[in-house]
Amino acid sequence: MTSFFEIPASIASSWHIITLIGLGLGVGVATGLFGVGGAFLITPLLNIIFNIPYTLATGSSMPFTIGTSVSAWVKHMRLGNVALKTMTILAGGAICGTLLGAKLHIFLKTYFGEFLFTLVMHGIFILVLVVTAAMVWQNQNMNGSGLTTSLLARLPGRPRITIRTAGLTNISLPGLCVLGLLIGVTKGLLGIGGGVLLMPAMLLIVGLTVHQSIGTGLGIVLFSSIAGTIIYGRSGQASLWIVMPLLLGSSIGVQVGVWASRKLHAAHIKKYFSILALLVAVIIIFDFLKKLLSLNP
Amino acid sequence: MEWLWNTIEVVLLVTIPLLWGLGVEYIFEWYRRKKASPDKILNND
Repeated sequence: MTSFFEIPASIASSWHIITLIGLGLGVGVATGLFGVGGAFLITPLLNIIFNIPYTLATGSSMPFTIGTSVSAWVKHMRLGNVALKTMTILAGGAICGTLLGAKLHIFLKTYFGEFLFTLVMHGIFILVLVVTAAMVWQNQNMNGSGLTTSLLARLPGRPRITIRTAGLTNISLPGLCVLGLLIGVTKGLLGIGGGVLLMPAMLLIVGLTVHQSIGTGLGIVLFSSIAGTIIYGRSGQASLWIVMPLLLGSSIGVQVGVWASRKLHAAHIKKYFSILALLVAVIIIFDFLKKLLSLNP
Repeated sequence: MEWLWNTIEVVLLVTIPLLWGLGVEYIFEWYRRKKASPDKILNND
């Protein structure tokens, strides 16, 4: 018997499975409404609600992201929103970065021990969520039509490439590879990387348009998630028993979210995204404090 | 045999969510097209 056939103890009862489907439904609504992958919600909430260790939660968020990103990526491929050359270069860097991030995850866990590692991960997630919420809140009125010049075009170093689909020239190839690597490290370490980090990076650093950023970003998330699944899955730190109820709920939730997004104003959607990110940050802060207080007798 | 189970597990971890995602997308796409197909409009006429 391997871990594949064993249901993790944290989700052993049918109520846990129902709650997982509910969590997937909620995250699916957020995916459809805000266009985010949802791993930034899934990973910390799996730890807080089900007491699933962060390594298993991060590992299980990888196959979940495969399921959510592949369908949207196929759709964007059909619409011609994917800058293939940029995606290939960034995905290459992101795959290497995911490997490094997973190694860093294991190193930090061994260095700090399970309990302190949970607090460190909580701290990182709080920081990421608060910064993201603040950035989105500040840029509520930004229409995001891409930059006329890419920030990567200002970087020194050769070779340089041209991204014809976005009309960008003289782009630094080493800069693009390093960007992919950094995105991959966060993916491997925290399991996040889609809407939270990739969209702003594509828009503000590479200089793609909004639609190209979404399409290209989804491809990078998909391939780095496959790499992450292989890395975490090899050590038995990803469970289909966690992934499948989440995917089931999210498949329905996404349709609800897409329907709701048509009814709401774009500026309001960004505001709601900031509020959601802050709300999750507050939940993590409460859990952080609860765990800290439990240290003292 | 441990390595074999491990490989099967990793393959399933990648393929099941991949097929699930593609399957759901194609089902909803098929439903949307069916709902908006001109044949249906003609039949209704």
